[in-house]
Amino acid sequence: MSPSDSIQLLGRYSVIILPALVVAEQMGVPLPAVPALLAVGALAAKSHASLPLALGAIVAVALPVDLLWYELGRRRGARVLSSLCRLTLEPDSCVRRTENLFLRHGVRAMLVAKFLPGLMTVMPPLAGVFGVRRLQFALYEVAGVLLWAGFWTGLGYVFSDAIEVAIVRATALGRALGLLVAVAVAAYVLFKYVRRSLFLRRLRIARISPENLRQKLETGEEVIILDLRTALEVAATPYVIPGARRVTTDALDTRVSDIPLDRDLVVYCS
Amino acid sequence: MALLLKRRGITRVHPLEGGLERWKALGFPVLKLPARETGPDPTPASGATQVV
Repeated sequence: MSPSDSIQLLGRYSVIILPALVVAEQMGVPLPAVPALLAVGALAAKSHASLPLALGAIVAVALPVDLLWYELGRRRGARVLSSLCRLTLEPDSCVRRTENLFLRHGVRAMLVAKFLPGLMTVMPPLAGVFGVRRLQFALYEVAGVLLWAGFWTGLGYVFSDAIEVAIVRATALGRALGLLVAVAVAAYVLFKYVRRSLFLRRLRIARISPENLRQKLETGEEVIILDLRTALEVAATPYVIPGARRVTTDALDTRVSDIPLDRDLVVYCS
Repeated sequence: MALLLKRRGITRVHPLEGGLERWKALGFPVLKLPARETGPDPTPASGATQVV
């Protein structure tokens, strides 16, 4: 199917395709919702699609899905976040990044979360974990969805001529463009995967078992232990290993100079 | 985080296998943190009490 065929299909079924793409993103599946939103905006400028109808359909579908994630966060706590973050391309920083955003901006973070890759899926359960009220969550959710979808469709609407030119050129390139995009996406995902695998392999080599650490502590060996858990994780499990110091990500940079280089440093999360 | 520490020149970094969950599951000692220390801005666990 050529890009112009896809656009025609999108124009005809925008109230089905757009919500489906948004739900896929909400479930952590990286499908291109933004290009589709831009295209629908451009189509609306040429009277081939209805923006209010498309936005209404997106809200009508996105709200129940995010309410489900929110309830899961409320009932199951931080475990839901960890499971969800495994689906993202940045599983190691996902919880911490989202939690920092929430701690800094509170429920208002929901207004921008959909613009940040990976956070769209994680923010609703996090709001549940933090005990945001249902009505407040629903209001911010609707506002966040409208802001996000409205921004991209609005951009498409304003730059409809430029998007039309881009689509014509893409059509001329035909399958070569599709292949190029697919290769670029695959290369990006592969790069992230390889980088993480190499990092985890390095960490595996240096890991210490709990038995080994306990032995070191019992024999009086001087070991520095850092508790690197997020505030949310500490609230869920308010315990520390004896002698451990809690350090947040933000404070770590300033505290690095206090750490002696001649001692073993044991770090742990949840 | 471990990578960040290594980049800052701290080479003897050892992530704990299984984290705190595994440590607790093995029945090794832990300290309970008082409520004031479970917030976002932590202080050293000086007021903690040993529970295991």
